[in-house]
Amino acid sequence: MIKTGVNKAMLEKGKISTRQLTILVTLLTIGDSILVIPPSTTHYARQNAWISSLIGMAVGLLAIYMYSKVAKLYPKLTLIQIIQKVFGKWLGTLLSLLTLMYFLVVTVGSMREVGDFVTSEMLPGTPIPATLILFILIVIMATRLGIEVIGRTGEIFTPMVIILFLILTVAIIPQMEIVRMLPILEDGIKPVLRGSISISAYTFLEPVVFLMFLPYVNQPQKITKSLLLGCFLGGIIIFLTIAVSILVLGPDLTTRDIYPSYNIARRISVGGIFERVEAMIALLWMLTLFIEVTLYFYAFVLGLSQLLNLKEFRVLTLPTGLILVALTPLIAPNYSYYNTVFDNYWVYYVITFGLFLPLVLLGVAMFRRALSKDLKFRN
Amino acid sequence: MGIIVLIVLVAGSIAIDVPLMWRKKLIKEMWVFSFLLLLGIFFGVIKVMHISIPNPLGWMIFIYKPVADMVNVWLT
Repeated sequence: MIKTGVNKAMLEKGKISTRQLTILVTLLTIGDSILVIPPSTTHYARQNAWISSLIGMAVGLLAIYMYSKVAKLYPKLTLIQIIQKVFGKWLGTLLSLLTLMYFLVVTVGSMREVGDFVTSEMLPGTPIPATLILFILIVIMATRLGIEVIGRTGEIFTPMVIILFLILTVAIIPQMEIVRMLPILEDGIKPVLRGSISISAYTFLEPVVFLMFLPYVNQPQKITKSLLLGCFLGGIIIFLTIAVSILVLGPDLTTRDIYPSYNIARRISVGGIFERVEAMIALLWMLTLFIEVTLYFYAFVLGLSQLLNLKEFRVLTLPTGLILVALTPLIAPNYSYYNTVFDNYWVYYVITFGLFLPLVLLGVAMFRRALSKDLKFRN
Repeated sequence: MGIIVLIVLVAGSIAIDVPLMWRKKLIKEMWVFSFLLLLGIFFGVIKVMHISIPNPLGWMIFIYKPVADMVNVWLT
């Protein structure tokens, strides 16, 4: 085993259980994808988007397995500390800063989606910063309370998320038509693969942020199993969302709509009594998005204080929140610009940090281990 | 309106955290706090005054454009 060196007093003293870890991974995987991912996947894969989601899930499970391997090599260190240990002082600091920027950019993007969604669908006319300030205040509060509280919050929310999702899926069954899913693979496999790039990057590679939290799990030997389980459960919910969008709306309407699953919830009508339940999916989405933004925000603040050897990370939350609120409207003048950037460039940005960075970390660590074994053998 | 909100937010963050850091003598934390706050004020002023700057995501487009074009040609 590679020695982890002197482990300084940890900034975060909380612990989360493996069940809480599973729940957090599931909620993060659902995250914003449940509303945003169906149009961008069906744009390429048309009615075969459900196959793309299965391919994405396979990629995600492999990536998650890789994260747990990295965490096993350095059980007491977070991602920022691992990078510094593997790459040394200068290169390590540079890569850490880039990773921190990645955390910040993902937070900004998710906040942008909150602002756009609330203003366009629920509270038209409200200035976007008003929504964002309220949202970020809750995120800051969660971050200051620590990882334990976030874990328990996830546990409390989970039954609600599952029940809301089941109600939405079951109540729409009468309006499904299997013919909208046909023909299967009419243009070959290439468009399906292109669609799976969006979905695997945006949905299944974002759990890379958990490399920041794995040292705080109380049963390290069970990490792999609970990570895989969480990714699998989240993947099933995303698969069902995409399949329902195609079965109810068809590929054309799914692509044109900005929020297809919200639109589907609007169409629910059971016996003329059970109607207008779209606020439920908004609630469901707010809960999962809150977890996603909180985890990324937390990772940024914690990582920055570990990089700079600070004694206290909670004092950085308020100024970082101010940066987020100010930066969110600046990154995109309108929704269609954001959507284009997200579809074409953002996905590769996520792949760089979600797939290549852990792969390089794993490769370098394995190489070092083999080298040290070789040296020992010769001596 | 926007500038008032910005001032309230900045004053609020200073009032909540600076006394705590001062009491515990966390000097390094104070520097990082000030730097982040200045960055936030900088972006906030740009937003509030409607100063037009190049998009901060421009670098992302610049770096990933070759990859994106290659994948789009290959998979369509």
